[in-house]
Amino acid sequence: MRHPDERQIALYAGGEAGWMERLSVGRHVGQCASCRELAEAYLGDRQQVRSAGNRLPDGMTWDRLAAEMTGNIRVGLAAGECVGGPERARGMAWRPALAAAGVAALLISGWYLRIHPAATMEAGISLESTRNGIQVSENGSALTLMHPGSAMPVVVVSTRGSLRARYVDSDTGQVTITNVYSQ
Amino acid sequence: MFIRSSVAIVSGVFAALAWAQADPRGSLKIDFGKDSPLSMVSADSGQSRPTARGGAMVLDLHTSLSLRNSSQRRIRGVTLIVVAQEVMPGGKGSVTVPSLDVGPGETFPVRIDLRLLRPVQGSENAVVQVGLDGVLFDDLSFYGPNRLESRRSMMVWELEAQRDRRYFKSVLEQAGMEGLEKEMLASVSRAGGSGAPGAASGRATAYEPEHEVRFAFMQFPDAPVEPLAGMARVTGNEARAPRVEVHNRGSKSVRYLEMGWIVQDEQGRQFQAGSVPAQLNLAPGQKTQVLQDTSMRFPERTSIKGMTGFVNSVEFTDGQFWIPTRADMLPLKNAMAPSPEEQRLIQIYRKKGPKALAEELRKF
Repeated sequence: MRHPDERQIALYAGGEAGWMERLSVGRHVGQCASCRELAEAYLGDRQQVRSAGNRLPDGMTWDRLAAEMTGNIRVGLAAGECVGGPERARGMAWRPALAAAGVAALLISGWYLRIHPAATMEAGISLESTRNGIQVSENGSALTLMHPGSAMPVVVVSTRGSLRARYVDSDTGQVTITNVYSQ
Repeated sequence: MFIRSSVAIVSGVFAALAWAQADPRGSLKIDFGKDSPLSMVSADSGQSRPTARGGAMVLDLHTSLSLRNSSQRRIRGVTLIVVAQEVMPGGKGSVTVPSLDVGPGETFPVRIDLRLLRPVQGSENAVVQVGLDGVLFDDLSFYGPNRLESRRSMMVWELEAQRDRRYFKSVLEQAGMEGLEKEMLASVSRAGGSGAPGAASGRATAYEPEHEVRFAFMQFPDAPVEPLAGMARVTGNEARAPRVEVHNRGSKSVRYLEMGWIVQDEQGRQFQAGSVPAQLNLAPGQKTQVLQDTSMRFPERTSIKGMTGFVNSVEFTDGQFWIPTRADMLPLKNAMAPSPEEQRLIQIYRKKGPKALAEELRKF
């Protein structure tokens, strides 16, 4: 007996095989226990994936998601109206505006994420003095101990893996020393 | 890419909403332990706010703690440890307030201003834990787990504070208010111009050919430890792998040494860039080499031309400390920042005038 290959069985189990293929594979699966078992396994996987996909993350509701999306679409439409030319036939205008707003939103989002890669690109622990404070970062996460904007901190690096900033808190008059450690 | 970006944005919006709905105080857990000499009177976290930034979430925590000294001794310094285990498992921070004079039952404020940044896909649970690392009392006794070795740091700052108060008191006694004001004006001129802004520590990143730069050492006549030779590998604005040979010329064994590290750039400017601490067990007469496999990076415009090292503090095995005198530090005064206590006294002089400063000095 010549068995159909896995691709054919997967397509059959998912209901996506062509009618000729569905007939021939269906006939074979009816007679062959091992291929029937494989088809049932594919069918089970498919149902599991579908049910997992239907579950929303904790704290998320469809109502809120719908409201967010509606809000975003309205903002996109309003933006489209602001930059668009003279209004044409009213019944047809919203479709290109909606498409343009969606594409624009995706382009802007993609560009924004591409130019802010620090959150996901870094590896290992590093210490850094920034304009706002001293920071320890690891794998895209960071903890920054900030100093007040008016403070002129003295920043010193310790070669044992720490960074120190010292400043006078103008509100309390107290000297404050912050440290971040990589160990 | 676009699909991923869209998913990230939607996730970011929902994560922001979830974080925003959380009670900001719930993001901060404060625990000083059962028998702590500090008790918390209040914690004001009113300004905390979470925001989405690109593919990351940012949480700002601006917290002002009011703490009470529930011990029977006066408090001179406090170090709080700050940990965000879910966001930053490998790193931590601390906030120290030195130069305090808090009597039994008195309260004092400690501000913790921090920012947490984590990827949107990370843990939702971003709890910041604040604990006590140590309290230093006026009799130089210490309480606390000392996980960050804050006892040593606070001891050195307290000894510097005692040294500097003695100095300014002697100026006041010998030269009066006029002499004190003159000294303060000299300190004010040094207060804002040192340290290493934009410094970073971590993996080396420069790819220019590196060369070895030798340390010039500032020798202090009564220092128990003498630096003999030292060098670091330098590439443009980066210095790494400092190596210093030291000799214990005193009569007591040394447990810990901290070398100060001053960097000179091409324009001739000097600034206190770092410190090279070393845990030792150095008997009298012995020599050893202090090696640190780490790198320091300065802003790109900085080109390191020279380096000066000096012994900043020494801890002996009997728990006693040595620090340089003000006279020792005189040649380095343009490169070094004033001590924490001197900074505090400058602030009193600036805000309240010379009379208030004289009164403050007479308290001790």
